[in-house]
Amino acid sequence: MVIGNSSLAAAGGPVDFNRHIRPILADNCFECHGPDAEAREGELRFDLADDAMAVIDPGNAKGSELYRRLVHQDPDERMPPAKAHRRPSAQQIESIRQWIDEGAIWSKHWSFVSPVGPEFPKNLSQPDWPRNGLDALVLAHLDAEGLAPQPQAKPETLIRRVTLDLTGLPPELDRIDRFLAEWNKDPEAAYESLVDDLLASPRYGEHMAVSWLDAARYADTNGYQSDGKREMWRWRDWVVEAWNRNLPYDEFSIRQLAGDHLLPDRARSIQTGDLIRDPEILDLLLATGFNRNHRQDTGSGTIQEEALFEIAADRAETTAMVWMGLTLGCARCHDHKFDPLTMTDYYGMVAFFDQVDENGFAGVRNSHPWLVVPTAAQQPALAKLDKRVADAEKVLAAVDHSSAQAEWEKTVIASGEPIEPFKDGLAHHLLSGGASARFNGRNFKKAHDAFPKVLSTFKPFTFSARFKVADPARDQAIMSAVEKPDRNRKGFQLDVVEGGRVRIRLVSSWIYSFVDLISNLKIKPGREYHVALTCDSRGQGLALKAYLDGKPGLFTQDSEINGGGTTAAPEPLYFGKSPFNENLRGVIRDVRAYTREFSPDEISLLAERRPLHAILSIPAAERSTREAALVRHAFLENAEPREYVALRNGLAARQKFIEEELPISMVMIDRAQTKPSYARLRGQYDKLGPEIMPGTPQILPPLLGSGTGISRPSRLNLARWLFAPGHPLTARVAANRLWQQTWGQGFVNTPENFGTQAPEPAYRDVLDWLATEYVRLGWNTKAMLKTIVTSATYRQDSNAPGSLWERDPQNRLLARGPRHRLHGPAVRDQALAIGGLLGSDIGGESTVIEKMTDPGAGDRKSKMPPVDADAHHRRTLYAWWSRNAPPPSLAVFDGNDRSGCTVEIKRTNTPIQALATLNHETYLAAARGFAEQILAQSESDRFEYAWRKVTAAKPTASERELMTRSLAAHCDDFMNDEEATMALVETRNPELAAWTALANVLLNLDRTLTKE
Amino acid sequence: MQTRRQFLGKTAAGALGLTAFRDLLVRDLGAAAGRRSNPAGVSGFPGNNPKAKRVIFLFQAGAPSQIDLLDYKPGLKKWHGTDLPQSVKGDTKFTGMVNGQDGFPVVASPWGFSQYGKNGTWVSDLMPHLGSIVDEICIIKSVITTQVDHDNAITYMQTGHQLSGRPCAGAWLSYGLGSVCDDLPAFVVLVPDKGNAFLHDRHWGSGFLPSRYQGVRFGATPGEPVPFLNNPKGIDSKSRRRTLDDIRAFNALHRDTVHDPEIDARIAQYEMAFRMQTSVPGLTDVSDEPESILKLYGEDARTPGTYAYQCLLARRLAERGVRFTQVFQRGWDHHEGLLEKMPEYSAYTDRANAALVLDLKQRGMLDDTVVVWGGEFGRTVFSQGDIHKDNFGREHHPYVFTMWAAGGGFKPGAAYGESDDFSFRPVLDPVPVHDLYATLLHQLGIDHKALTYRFQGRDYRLTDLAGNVVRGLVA
Repeated sequence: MVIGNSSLAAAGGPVDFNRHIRPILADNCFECHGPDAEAREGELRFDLADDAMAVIDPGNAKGSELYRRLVHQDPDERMPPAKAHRRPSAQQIESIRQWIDEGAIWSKHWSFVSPVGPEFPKNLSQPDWPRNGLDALVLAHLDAEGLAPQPQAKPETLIRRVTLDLTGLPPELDRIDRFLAEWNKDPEAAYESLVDDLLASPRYGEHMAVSWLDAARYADTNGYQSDGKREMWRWRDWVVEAWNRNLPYDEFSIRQLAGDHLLPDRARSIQTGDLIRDPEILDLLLATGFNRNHRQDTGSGTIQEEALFEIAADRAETTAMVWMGLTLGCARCHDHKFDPLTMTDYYGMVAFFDQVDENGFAGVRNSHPWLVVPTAAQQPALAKLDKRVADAEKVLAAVDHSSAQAEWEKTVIASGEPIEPFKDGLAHHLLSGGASARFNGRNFKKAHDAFPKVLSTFKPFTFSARFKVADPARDQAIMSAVEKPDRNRKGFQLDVVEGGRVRIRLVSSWIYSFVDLISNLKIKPGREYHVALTCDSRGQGLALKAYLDGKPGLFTQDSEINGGGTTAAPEPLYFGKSPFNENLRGVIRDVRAYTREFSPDEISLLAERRPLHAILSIPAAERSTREAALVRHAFLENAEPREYVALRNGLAARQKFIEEELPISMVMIDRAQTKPSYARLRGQYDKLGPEIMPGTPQILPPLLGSGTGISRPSRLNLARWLFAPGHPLTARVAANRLWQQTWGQGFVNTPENFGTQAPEPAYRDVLDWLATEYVRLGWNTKAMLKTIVTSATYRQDSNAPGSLWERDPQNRLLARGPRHRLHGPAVRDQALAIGGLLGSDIGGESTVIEKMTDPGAGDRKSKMPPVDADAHHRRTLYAWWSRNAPPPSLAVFDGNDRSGCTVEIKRTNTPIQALATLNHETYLAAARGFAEQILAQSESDRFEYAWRKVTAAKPTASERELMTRSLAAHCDDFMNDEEATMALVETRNPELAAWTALANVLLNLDRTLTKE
Repeated sequence: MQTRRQFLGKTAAGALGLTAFRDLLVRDLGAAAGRRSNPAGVSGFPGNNPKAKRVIFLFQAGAPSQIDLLDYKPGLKKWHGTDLPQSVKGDTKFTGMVNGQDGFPVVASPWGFSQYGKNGTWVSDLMPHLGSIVDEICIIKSVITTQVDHDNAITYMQTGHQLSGRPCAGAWLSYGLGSVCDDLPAFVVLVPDKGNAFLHDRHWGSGFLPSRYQGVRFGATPGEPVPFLNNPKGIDSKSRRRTLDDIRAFNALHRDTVHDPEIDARIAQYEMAFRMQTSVPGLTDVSDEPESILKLYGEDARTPGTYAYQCLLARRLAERGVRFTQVFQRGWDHHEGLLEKMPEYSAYTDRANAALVLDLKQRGMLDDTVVVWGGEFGRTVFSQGDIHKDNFGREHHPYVFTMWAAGGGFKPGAAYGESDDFSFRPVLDPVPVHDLYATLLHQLGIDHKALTYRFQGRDYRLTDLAGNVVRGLVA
């Protein structure tokens, strides 16, 4: 049921359509008489005034068909019909009667009307109580309810409350001491300075990021059945850092939705795998990871069209929910049942997000587009390596080697020994020199065992070979290295297909993950060709370039390498055959594998048929540019002048650093050519409906003003539209979430849904004030939070007389301060902080915090990483998050699997949670660490120290007494049980064991696990 | 100064009030923060005249071949090795693993079938024990799903929707009917050790329902039947009891000054945690079972972690009132090696399947316990890749497959629905997954359209926007 505020208002006063009536109609009638045209019965709808008035006679309920049918005695006449399983309560029907009798005044759903700053109330009961607009509005409500606010909470309560709310951690004792001392002099100044400190703490950004990661469905794995790893922590760190530097919420959002559309011209041609050094560009692109955080399947079970559609749909639905509180998903298959959202609205939103230059499948690390994204800390080392390369290039260019080269040439010619111009990175060279292998269509030759291992798309390589085919009209194999012809096989094939085309095939997992490169021209019988393939380590098809006779651009690439792992087959290379084709009739020679990527210029030289000696015999002055370049290259690689070696080493060092040290992250980059977007019939990806242009829901303000000349609106238009003045939802939804963070629940307690099913909150004026204030403050989030936590409303004591708890158990009236359970991450972080174990490093790779036992991981190629023994006590935010098996001790605390967007903070209460905080190793380690710190205090201070660590307050006499007795009893036990002592604390110290047991108690108290 | 006795006396009789204290210790687990809901179930459920009270779902993950177990197709012999007729295959979609395959050769079942029971039901020689209980079970030969690959299909079978994020059936029942035992979760998941793949914690998650309704996997953390159940080393149960008494005393003291009823809920949860610690170890130790029972389930039943043990444990959980127990046997994904693996997994599970049904029956529990058996989809009549003499396999087949159900009012000794000659599509009485759940819920006294939960402004249910009770399945 909807926990609305209906019951709080209707008594006595007039009925308000938005607050009282629309929710009843939405709940009971819209399914058949609402926005969904397909489901509509009797051409009657209650979401539009004109239609509804056909059955309403304003001022006359008894004469209105609507009311008559609601109360009809005949079950066949009565609405809603029995089969709908919906029945408004007698009180709700009475409200409808009253509303009609009062004139049936209709208004637009509250959240679709722009918020305006409310008028401030006059004649308040306690004019001195309000500290800001929020307080004045709240007090007016309390006055109307006949309630008085609670007094300000004690300073010990306040410091713990506000520290937990702004940083997710408990206050340190010395900060409490300082705060209390300052409070005694000037409470106002003390509190304000505390809030400023907390907002300036790096822990603030971490805390703010926790719920943003849930909203963004951030995880360290791809989800779906193989749940392979991905690398997105640079995006996570971008979020932490953006909250910490207080990037205004509009900028924060626009960059995440469309940072790639804000790039300066110099960054227009960025593509997957590029290393981004420029901090401004990094900032814009990293942010766009927000909408790459969705799940991704491998190609083994999913069809590409389906995958691409589901991804775009996920982005649209997530964006609508996070920024607008709209549940767009309901309009995927039909017009929304309750909200005025049509299928056109849905597919218009999807069309903003379907232009990304992606292939829809999970990569093995990341799927494109992704970039190499050094951290700020890595930039200096990278700059140093860049300089080393640049310097070496300069030196090499400046040195004149002409005489040395002439000397070298003379020596080589004199010796007559063959010279290899391309030695660098040469791993295997088969049929070298003048050797060749001939095939007659029946024979074949086992060539080499390890050669295929070089051909992995995750490492740079170059392959080249020369061949002749006698009868290319016949499809045949040239060479191959494939696992036995079976599903999921890997391998490399070079074939002649389609009556003379050269096909290079690299397979990471047959039949769904492979790349074909097929020559556009057909080869001629008996002529020798040189074929080459280079790979730059980006894993997927875009890493590959194929060449024929040294020329690029002659191959068409088809299909894609998805989640199937390496392409390197664990089988030997065979010449002249493959398991899938007839054997070769022709000749093979000069087959090479390099562990580096050749440039196109190098490939052009490598294709040269003549041996080097033939070119050396041409006098230097008569050589063509190409010939001269080849000789120079041979000289550099063979004579190895010092300057050349320095450059080669510099390049290798930089490459190693980039490959081994630098993180990567997925980003949004749109394809060069837009492709048309289509609606899908009944939501099915393969049932195309009409073409759709990107657009925002019709019920909301227009996306673009008239005459902009924009033919196809972009994500940037969408992002800016969300923050255009007067947008009814963005500020409200964001303010509501800030309220949820500090009060446990928002004014709208469905933060994911502000649609017509969300009744107008009783304190809408307070929400609207906060929303307008957020805009007025330039979307300054820290200022907003400061407004909230410095208000008199927030500073009230959370305790109150039992009668108030009874009247308002959920604290919707705000007649007392917030008191609610901590959510999972705060429970864990608090225990580790109290235990003195919490790591303080900000950002970096995710950390495996506890053993995970995913039953599906058993046969997985990428097994779960082991627990990181050095860092497993970091903040929960940094916990390595597998979608298929989130850390167990967090999963039981409503830790979600990040399948999709979640904006509600759940705080349930279960016995398994109790078992976790009592028994789980993390909490036990925290208890022991806590006990050690307690024992480091002087004996007389220990109880007070311990109590203050968990509650911030000094213990009362009863609390001290309970602690004393508990400790004494545990002491008795451990004094007499050395074995238990050793088992618990691994040292013969019964006192430590007893304190550990008491610390375990203290970490499990309701007030410890609660913010109050 | 108070003595311990005085203090606890005050707690029990004074501060909380005797009635309140008893109430919260009985069954009600209290409220979730900010949202009261009734863990005893949703008011109005079960409705009139429920036939069943609990479910044991023997989920055969990976998906066994219906053609080689229960969907007897003697006519396939003459098609063996020839391509599946295009008139049958049409443009049916399969996974990326076979869509590019050149041919689709039919594989007749390599195993014999025999007739059992009063109707002479054909059952594969791979599962003779199942044959011996055909008069107790209702075989459904026309189940259809919409998903071609494991993850989506398991998610669909579990939650009624292919994308993860919704509550699974066990969570729905736990939410709708509540718990009848105060020392065990209402929804327990058992995963035998043998076999591989495709199962993850989220498959028994509570989706948008609060996490208290999620399935608790026994054995998920090493050495413990229930996650975090074991006391830390050095803390025995006496010491743990003292800890809980201390926590309760502190909390009750705080409750005297702070009037938040959430504190009571907290106290109740800690007490239930303790009861679980006390009762679960005895539950998972099957050495108190008589020899005849251990023999019935087979020798494996003595070894924790085997399928037979988990089936026996499922019965013990059912006896104690657990609402929904799900055993997930893995290893049925036979893309290749059908000749080896079908006999292996059939033999591993056959005796225990039958034993569970017989055991429940002899205790009179089969009347109100539904046992469901089946995978997330079926398997193709054609071979994945070429048929080799000693090695071939079958691809995923969502378009028709076989499940069975026993007890709780499902028609004993019945067969329902029929597939075509190639076990490719249903020709009679297709049963979509949603219909199966509508029927199951119906037997539990739940109108599947009425058990809903409001999320993101919409009332969700297990059967999504579909589902009809299949009257022909139930007596």
